[in-house]
Amino acid sequence: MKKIVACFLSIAMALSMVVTAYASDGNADNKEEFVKEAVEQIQVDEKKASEAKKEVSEIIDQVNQSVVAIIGNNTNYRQDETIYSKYPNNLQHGSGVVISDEGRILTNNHVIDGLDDIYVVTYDGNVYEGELLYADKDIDLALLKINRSDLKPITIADEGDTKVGDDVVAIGTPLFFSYRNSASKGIISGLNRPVDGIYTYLQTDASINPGNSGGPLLNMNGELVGINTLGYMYYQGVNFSIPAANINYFLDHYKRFGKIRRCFTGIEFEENWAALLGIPTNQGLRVVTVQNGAVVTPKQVKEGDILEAINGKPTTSIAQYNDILKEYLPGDDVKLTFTRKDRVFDITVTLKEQPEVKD
Amino acid sequence: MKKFFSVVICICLLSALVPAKAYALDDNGKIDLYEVFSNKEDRMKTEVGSRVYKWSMHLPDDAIIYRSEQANYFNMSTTSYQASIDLQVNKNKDKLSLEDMLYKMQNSSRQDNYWIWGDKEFYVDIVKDSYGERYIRVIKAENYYDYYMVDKAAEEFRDYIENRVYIANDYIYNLTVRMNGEFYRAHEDMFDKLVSSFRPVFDDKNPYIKELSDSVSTSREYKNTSYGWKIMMSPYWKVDGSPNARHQNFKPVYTDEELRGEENKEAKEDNIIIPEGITVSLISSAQDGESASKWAQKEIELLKDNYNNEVYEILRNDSSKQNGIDVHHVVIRYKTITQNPYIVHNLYAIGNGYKYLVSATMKDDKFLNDAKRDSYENMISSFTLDSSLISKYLGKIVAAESLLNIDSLKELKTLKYDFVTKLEKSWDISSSSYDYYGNYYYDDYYYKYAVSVDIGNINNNEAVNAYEPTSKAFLNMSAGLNANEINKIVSDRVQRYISNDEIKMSLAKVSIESGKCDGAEIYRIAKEYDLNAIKNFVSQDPTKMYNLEELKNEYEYIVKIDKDIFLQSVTIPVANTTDKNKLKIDEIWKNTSINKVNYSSKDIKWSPHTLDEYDKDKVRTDNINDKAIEG
Repeated sequence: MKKIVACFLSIAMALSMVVTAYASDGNADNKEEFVKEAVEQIQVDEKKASEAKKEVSEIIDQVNQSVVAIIGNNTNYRQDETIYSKYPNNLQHGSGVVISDEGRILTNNHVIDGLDDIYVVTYDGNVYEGELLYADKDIDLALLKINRSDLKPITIADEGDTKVGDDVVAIGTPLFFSYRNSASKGIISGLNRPVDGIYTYLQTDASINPGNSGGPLLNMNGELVGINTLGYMYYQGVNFSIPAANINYFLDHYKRFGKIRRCFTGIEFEENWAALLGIPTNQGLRVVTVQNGAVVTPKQVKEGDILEAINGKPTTSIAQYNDILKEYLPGDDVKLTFTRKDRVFDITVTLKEQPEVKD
Repeated sequence: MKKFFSVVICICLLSALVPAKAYALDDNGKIDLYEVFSNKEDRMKTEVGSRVYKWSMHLPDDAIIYRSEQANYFNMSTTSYQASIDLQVNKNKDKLSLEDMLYKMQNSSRQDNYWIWGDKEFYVDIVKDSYGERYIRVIKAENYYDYYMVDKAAEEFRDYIENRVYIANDYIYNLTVRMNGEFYRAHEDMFDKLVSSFRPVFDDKNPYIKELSDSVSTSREYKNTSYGWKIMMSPYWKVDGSPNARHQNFKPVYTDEELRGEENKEAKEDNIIIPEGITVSLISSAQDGESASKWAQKEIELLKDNYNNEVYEILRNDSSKQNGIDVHHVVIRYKTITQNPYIVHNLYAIGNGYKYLVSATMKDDKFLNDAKRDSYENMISSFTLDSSLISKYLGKIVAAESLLNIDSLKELKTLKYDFVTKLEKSWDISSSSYDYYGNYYYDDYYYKYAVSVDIGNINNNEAVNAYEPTSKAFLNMSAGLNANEINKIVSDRVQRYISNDEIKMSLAKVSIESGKCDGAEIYRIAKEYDLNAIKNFVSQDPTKMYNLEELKNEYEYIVKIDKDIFLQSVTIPVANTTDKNKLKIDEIWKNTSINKVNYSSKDIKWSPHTLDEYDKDKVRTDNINDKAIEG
C-alpha cells in the first residue's frame, strides 16, 4: 500500500514539474508522448530504487558469513577487589573479517591487545581459538588464524574507487556480544582524515560503536573498503575506518616479509598546530632532532629545518608523512625537500628500516 | 634386516603424517565460552558469605557484588531476580536486644520521615526464621512513590522491600532485600528464596559458599615490579593504595577483634590509634661504601639526637644476612603515647644499587604475643631483592641531603619588615601571608592573584615559617602593626596558659621574662612540660593519657619596637625535646636580627614575671581585696 502511495506521489510530483512545459507546448500528441515518457521514467526510477534497497540486504547476506566476533579476557587490568561476580573480569570483544578461505581473519590490534587467549565466533555461532599471526600497533591491525577452512573470504575494494558520498554498510558486534553481525548503513563522509596523527582514515556516518572495531566497512558491491576502528563517544555520525590502502599495505608486507617493513628516516618532527586543528596549511614538518642511525647527518639537517616534501609530495602532517612512506620499502631512494629560513634544499637519501622498539 | 628398516621407516612416516593430518583437520567449533571464562574455583559456588562476620546467603549466578574492604558492607544485585540486597554488619557495642533495636528503629522511623523520603511500613514484628533464629521483620515501601504517583499507580510500581535485623555473634545484621514490585507479584517464591537464604551463620565446611575475604586469607607473594623487591604477605594482610609504589604500604584487613573476637582496647584509648602496618620504601640510590649497618647506625644517632631518651628503648640492633643480602635490624619501643607503647621494627637493606627500608609498626601487646608478632616479622624476614623486578625507567634517586651541606646556614626573613634569622639547611622554609580573614596562605601565585583582585585589602601583617623534619620543630616569625601596649599584647598572648589544666597541675611550667634595649621592649615566654610529672600523673590515673608527639613545648620572643610587633615562636613536641634540639632553638634567637639589631648580643637585664600577673580574675580579686583593706 505504502509503495502504491509513494508511486502515486512520485507521478504527481513529476507531472507537476513538467506542467510548465506541458502548458507552453499546446500539442496534444506531444503531450501524450511526454506523459507516457514521464511515467516510464518514473517506473524505471522506482524499479532502480527498489533494486538498490534490495542490494543492501543482499550485501549483508553476501558478506555476513565473512564477519566474525572476537572475544577474550584482557589480562592487562587488575581486578577491582571491591567487586565480586561470577561474570568474567575484563572481557573484551570486537569484530573481525575473514580474508582467506584458510581461516585468516583481519581485525584491529586494539581488539586483541591484552588478550592471552583469543576466541573467534563465526556467523553460525561456532567458536574457535584464534592464533595471532601478526599485529601492528601503529596501523592498528592484527591478523588471526582459526582452524576452519570453509569460510567465505571478503574481497578488498580497489584503493582508488572509494569516494565521498559512496553508500557503505558496517557489520560487527556493537556494545553487546549478543548483537553479533549487526549492520548499519551510511556514506563515506570524508577521506584521508589524520585522526590519530599516525595514519589517515576514512570517515563515515555509518553507526560504529564499541565492539564494532575490527569489523568490515563495505561498499555496495560487498567489497571491503575499510576496517571500522574509531568513533567519538557521545557524538553522532563521525566514525573512522582504516582504508583499503592501509589494509593492503599491512597484508602485503605480512605476506612478503612476515611483518611490516616500515621505512625509517630517523628524523623526528613536530606537528604544527594548524595540522592538529585540521586547518588547511602548506606548513611542512619542523625538525626536532636527528636520531642516531638516521638517513641524514646532523650537519645536513638541523633542528628547525622544515621538511616540505618527499619525492615532491607535500608533508604537512605526520600522518601524511607516514602515508607517503608507505609507498616505499627500506632501501629505496627518495628525495627529501627541506627549507631552512629562505633556502630550499633537497637531499636524496636511502630509506632504512624502522628498528623494533624493545620492551 | 632390510625388512626391519623398511618397517621402521614406514612407522616413522606414518607417525609424522598423523599429526600433520590432524592439524589440517578443522576444529569442530564447539567451544563453550561459559566453560572457558568461568572461574573454575567459583563455578560451583551457590552461596556467598563472610567467615569473619559469620553470615551467608544465596548467590545467584548473575549476581554482581560490591563490598567494603572488610566485607562488612555488602551490596548484591541480580537481574534474574530483579532484586538488590544490602547488608550492613556492625558490632553490637551497646549490647542491644532485638526489642531494644526495634525501639530504636521505631524512634528513628518517626524522626526520619522527611518530605518525600523515608519508608512506610506495612508489617513490623519480631519473628523466627525457618532455622528458629529470631529477627525483626519489616515489610515496607518508599514514600516517594506516593509523592509522585497516585494511589493505585504508586502501589503498582513501587518496589517490594523486606528488612530483616538479626542480632547474633555480637553483631547486628541489617539486611534489606528489594525486588521490583511488578516482578514480585508474579514471583513471590523467588523473593522468599532470596530473603530466607540469609543466615547469621557461616559454615566453614560448606564448599559451596563463596567466602568474601578468601582472596586475602592465605599467604601471598607480592612483587614490586617497579622497584625490584618482593615480600610474602601474611594472611589477612593487603596492599594499601596503588601497587608498585615507591613507598608501598601493607596493612591488616581486619582488627584482632574481628579476626579473633578479642576485646577492642582502642575503643577505650581515647581515639589514639597507632597506624599499624608495614611500609617498604626505596629511600634513595646507595652511595659507594654505604652498608646497611652504617646506615642503620646513622639513623640511631638521629634518633638519639631527636628523641628524649625517656620515650624510646632500643630492643634490637644487629646485622644479619637475609635472602642473599646484608641487612640490619633495629627494633625500637616508642613510649610516646603514655601507657600505650608501640614498636617500630626497621629493616635496613642495600642492594640493586639502592637503599631499602622495611618499617613495621605494631602495638606493644602484639609484639609481646608470638603469634601476632609473627604476622609482621614473617613479612619482614621474607623481604627479598630481585633485580629482575626493576622497571627499565628506574634510574638514580638522589637524596637531597647528599647534595646539601645540612649544617650550613640560610636566611629566613619577612619581606616588608627587617626581621631575619639564620637557620641550618635542614629547615624547610615556606613563606606565607595572611589573607584578610586572618588565614594563612602559602602560594605565591594565589597571593599575587588575591592582591590583584582586591587591592583594597592591603595587609600590614606578614609571616614566614620553617619546619625541621628530624626534630619536628616548627618556627613561625611574624611581624605587623600593633598599637597596643606590650603588656596588653603579652597578657592577651598568655591567657591560653591561665586556663590550661596541665599548667594548673604543674605538669607544665610557664616562664615569662621581660627586658628593654635601645627602645625595644622584649618578652621571652616558654611553656615546657615536665616529662617526669606527666609520667607520675598517668601512672596514678589510668584514665588519663598523653601523646608526647602531639604535646608541644613552646618558646617565643615578642619584641615591640614603636608601633610594630615582632614575634618569633618555636614549638617542638615533648618527645623530641632533647638538649641538642633545645640548643638548636637557642641558636635561632642568637641568629635573629630586627632592623639590623641582634638583641641576643645585647646586655639585657631580664625581669621575671609570674602567670598570675596576667590572670584577670585574680587581679580583679586582688584589687577588691586591696580596696577592702583600704576601706
